[in-house]
Amino acid sequence: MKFIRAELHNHSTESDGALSVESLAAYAAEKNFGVLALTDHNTTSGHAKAYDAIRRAGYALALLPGVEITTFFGHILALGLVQMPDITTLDPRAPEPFFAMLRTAGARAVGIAHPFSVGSPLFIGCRFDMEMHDWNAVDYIEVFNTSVSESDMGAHPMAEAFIGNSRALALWERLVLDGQRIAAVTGKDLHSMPRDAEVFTTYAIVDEACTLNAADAVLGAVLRRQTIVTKGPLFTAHSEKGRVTVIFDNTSGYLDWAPAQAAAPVLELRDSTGAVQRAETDLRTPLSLSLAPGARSAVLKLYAGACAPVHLLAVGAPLYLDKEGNG
Amino acid sequence: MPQTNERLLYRVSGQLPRGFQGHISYTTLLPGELRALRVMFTFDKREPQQEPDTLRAGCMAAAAQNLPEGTPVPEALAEHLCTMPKGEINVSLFLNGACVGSAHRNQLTKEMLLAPQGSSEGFVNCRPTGVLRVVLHVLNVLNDETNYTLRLEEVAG
Repeated sequence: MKFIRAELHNHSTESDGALSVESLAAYAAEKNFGVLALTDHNTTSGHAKAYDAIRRAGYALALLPGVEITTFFGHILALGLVQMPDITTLDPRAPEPFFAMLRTAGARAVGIAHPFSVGSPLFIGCRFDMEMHDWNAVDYIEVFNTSVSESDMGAHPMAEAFIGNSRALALWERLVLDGQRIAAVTGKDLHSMPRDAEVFTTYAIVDEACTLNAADAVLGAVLRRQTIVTKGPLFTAHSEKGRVTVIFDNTSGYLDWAPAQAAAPVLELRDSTGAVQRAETDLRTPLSLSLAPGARSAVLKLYAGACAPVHLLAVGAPLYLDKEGNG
Repeated sequence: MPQTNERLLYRVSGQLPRGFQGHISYTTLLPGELRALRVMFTFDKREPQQEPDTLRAGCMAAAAQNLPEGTPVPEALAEHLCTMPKGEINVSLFLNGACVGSAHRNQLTKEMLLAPQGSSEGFVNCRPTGVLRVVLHVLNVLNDETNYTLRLEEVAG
């Protein structure tokens, strides 16, 4: 397996950002992202300019065009969408046809941005306030929107309450353990140059032999739920007959594992039966854990020491299991 | 210096009540093939004029949405939050059924140019011809009798 570092939620001067598409691309290249999604609010006008900027600069960066569909009732990320549709037909009490319309219009992966952002009257429309009846309409949830952490407010005790990432992660986890097939991703939601902060980043897990271009590979990984959100450590997991093997990646140049190793990392496996297992790890030796009988899905989380949100290091790709416990 | 020759095509005004949220569309056939089209949209009363206590209560409730019940919002932050709500109306343009872009900055006045070359940021380059649909995305109206004006101009040279 290989990991592609992807930044999936950003804005430029084509909507309400302060960075030109050229500056955005330069930032992404400097930060070693392999894929950059351009998701301006309700417009695709920056796509051609971004492609051109990346080509002219010769960055090793693939553009993933998209739009942040900015509605009164929540923000929906439509990756791969290159023609902005009419959004006036959304009924938040029955949004599934709207999600289907986005796919018909060309969206290849549809996700919910910052679902628990503070809402009206402070940030009207930012909080996801639609009644979902069928979560199959959703490919992914932005479980960590790092815009507040990377802003001047980042160190404020109210920062987390403003963006609601812990609730977004809890929603994703509940849905996965209910059997919903949804990927977890992060988003910087860049509107200006961010401050340096230790934040979660998305990596797409891609087969070593994959020959797709990086943007398509990332889209495919999102659709297969093969994404890991992490502050550094990378790992994959698979299950055979209820036995989960976790393999850590020691090849990436992105990693800064020292803080994690100092705190005796713990991997937590929570499955759909409610069973929870924890095991210490050196982040190198493969781990082996058993699923509870009858488990159909599972979530893996890596902590630096104590298993508390503040110590969370990474959330792995979810596991979905067949009746024999394979997945 | 080239002379700019602008011709008014369309001007419409309206008034919105506090709390209105919705999309307002204007559709018109453009007169032939224009070299460029300028769309100007403006509204007033962006700042809240309502009772401060009502607004403050709403802001505090929003800020507390992700806090454990009963957790107070710090007073210094509360003061800042109360300055945040602003009226917001965004604008999308469609030509012959296809969206050519949106103006999404929260500003009182939005000026949009559509042209084969040099369209405004937020809009693709396009030849303004055929049926134009302007959609006002009325996100937030903070005050009664909020006035808006939409103006279309041909830019001929």
